[in-house]
Amino acid sequence: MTSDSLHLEIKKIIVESLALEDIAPEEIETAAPLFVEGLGLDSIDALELAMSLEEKYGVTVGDDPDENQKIFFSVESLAQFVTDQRG
Amino acid sequence: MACVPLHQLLQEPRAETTRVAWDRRATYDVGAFLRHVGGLARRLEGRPGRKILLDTTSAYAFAVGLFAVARVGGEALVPPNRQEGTLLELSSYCDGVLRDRGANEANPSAEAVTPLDPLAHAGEPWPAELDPQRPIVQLFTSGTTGRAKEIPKAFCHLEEVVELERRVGADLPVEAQVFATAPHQHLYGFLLRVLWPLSTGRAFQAESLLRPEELLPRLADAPVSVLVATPAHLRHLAARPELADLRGRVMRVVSSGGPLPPAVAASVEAALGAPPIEIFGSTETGGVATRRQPAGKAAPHWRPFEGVRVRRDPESGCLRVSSSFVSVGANLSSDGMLEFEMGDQAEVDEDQQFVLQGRADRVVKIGEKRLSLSDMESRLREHAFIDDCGLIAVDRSTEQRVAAVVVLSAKGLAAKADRDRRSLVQTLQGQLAAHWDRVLLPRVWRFVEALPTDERGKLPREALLALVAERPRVPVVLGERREDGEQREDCEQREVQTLVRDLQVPTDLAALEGHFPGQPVVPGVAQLGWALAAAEELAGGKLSLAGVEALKFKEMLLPGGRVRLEVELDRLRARVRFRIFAEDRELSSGRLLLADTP
Repeated sequence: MTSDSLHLEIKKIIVESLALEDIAPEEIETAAPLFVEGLGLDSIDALELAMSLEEKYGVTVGDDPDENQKIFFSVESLAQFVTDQRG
Repeated sequence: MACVPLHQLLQEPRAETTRVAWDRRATYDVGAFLRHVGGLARRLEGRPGRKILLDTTSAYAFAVGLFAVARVGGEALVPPNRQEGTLLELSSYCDGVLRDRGANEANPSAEAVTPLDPLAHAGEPWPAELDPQRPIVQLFTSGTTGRAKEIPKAFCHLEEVVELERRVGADLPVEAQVFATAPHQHLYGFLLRVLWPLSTGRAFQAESLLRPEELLPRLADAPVSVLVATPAHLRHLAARPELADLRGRVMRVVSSGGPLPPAVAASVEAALGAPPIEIFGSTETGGVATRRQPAGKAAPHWRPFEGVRVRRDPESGCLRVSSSFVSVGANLSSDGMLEFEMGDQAEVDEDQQFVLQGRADRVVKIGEKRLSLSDMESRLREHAFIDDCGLIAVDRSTEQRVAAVVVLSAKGLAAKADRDRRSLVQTLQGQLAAHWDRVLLPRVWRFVEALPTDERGKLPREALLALVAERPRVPVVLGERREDGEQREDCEQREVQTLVRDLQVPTDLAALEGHFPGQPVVPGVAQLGWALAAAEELAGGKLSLAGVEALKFKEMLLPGGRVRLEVELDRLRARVRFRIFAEDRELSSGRLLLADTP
């Protein structure tokens, strides 16, 4: 899978699993922050998004809070994480 | 475990090497705690003013700040959330701010008062017996109607730790480490993850690790532990198969802050061997009662703590609680105890045990955070874009979320026409984000012409729910009339049925999305859809379209106005004709060809 199509797939997961209104997957900026100042996601979204990613890709985040914050920073960082974990 | 009274913690400490707390960087023992408190208290002693805002991310820094403020006769204000607006509002009537490193990193805003880091001033211990009756801390809660209100607490109101030890700590070794997902700024976390461990000599986790992936391996490393959790986090933890590996290590799970779903209680029991101990209480009353839901059985009644009396208010049906832990309320009895009426309705039996029957007020809990919908509504109404609004909590996948039904002002309508819907929603959310945690912000927005208020002026829940269920796809039918089976005096006989509908076109119509930013126009295809729907009603069944024979859009159909739709169903010729008027101007018309004769 090219990184562009993975980016789009993750954007679709974000919009669908979090039932976001007023934004289409294509409109989410790949490198923009997902939480608070960017897309405006919150802590409940963070947990739900982690569950959806695990269901879809079988990936789980590690135990380092600082590292997890980096993984969930943007669509780009999430895609990188999914790619790395799937080897 | 014997409990050390909280007001004597600085005076008769446990052995210096008893562990108090730990984080990723360090472990803090009793000696360190007393030096941190002593040093900070001396620093505070030299400053004017004793009202100190306690804004910390670390539960240990919180404990140090609290006892240092108490030591100098001050009062600690604990912010209900860390939103910039809240912190600014609170710091404006504080004499100082205590903020630890983590909190500084998260919120580096400028302050009128330079914040002190509670852990940066370690000095000599400064023992003293503290006054158990004097208020030492102000917590905040969203009241049933108005703004967040202050709830003062003295050490005597917090001595409930003795009861907690009886219900939660029984048979739990002193080595048990206290892990928590409950925030220490709320009374439940304050009592269970900070004061109860301090008083009983157990060590607590200073930082909050909320992701199951971060928490589970740390729990696996602890030989014996107790978990102070909230239902939202338990739900995610209970879904993890690794939880079962912790059986025998995680000796106890405590849940409070909202109702615990029976399925989550059952999963925890299946994994760890016992269901969570649930605590019911409030900021005003402290802990009131506990229960445990065993899998497959009806939930038992709530059993009040020793010294807590409950009764049902005959008028409101709400639970009235009196005990020495209640810090606000009416002074009814001669023993000086206060009685507080909670917002929760309950049925109380003769043994003082009770069943909860839901909230009486418009307070909801989302992500364990309490929100007064009325409070948020009044904030929203202050916005120039808004004439009126109604809020409601709706169920979304695993949590509830707030939905907003809004009547825009002329300014708001202009703004909505000017930019896209999303940026309008972001503007309105931004207004609220300064005061509430993000999880409480409305996630579903509907813009309507008028709120569906009933004759008593109330907003029926069902009407709001129907509005937020989905974006409107069809206009509101204000009135209609039919003319059935009309015989036309034409050369040939045609059976024609006519339906005339007066329509109100919602400004929030789903079909307006992207059509067009800055200039919303009802798309032609949507108008065809309305015509076909009306024709189907005449036909009494589904119609399938074979083609469009003639279509004219003379004027743009703008949302927000009223239009008249005239539809003729010509059965013999398998045609549908429609015309849409605004007053006497024809906006559009067309003739549709049907695949079959209806």
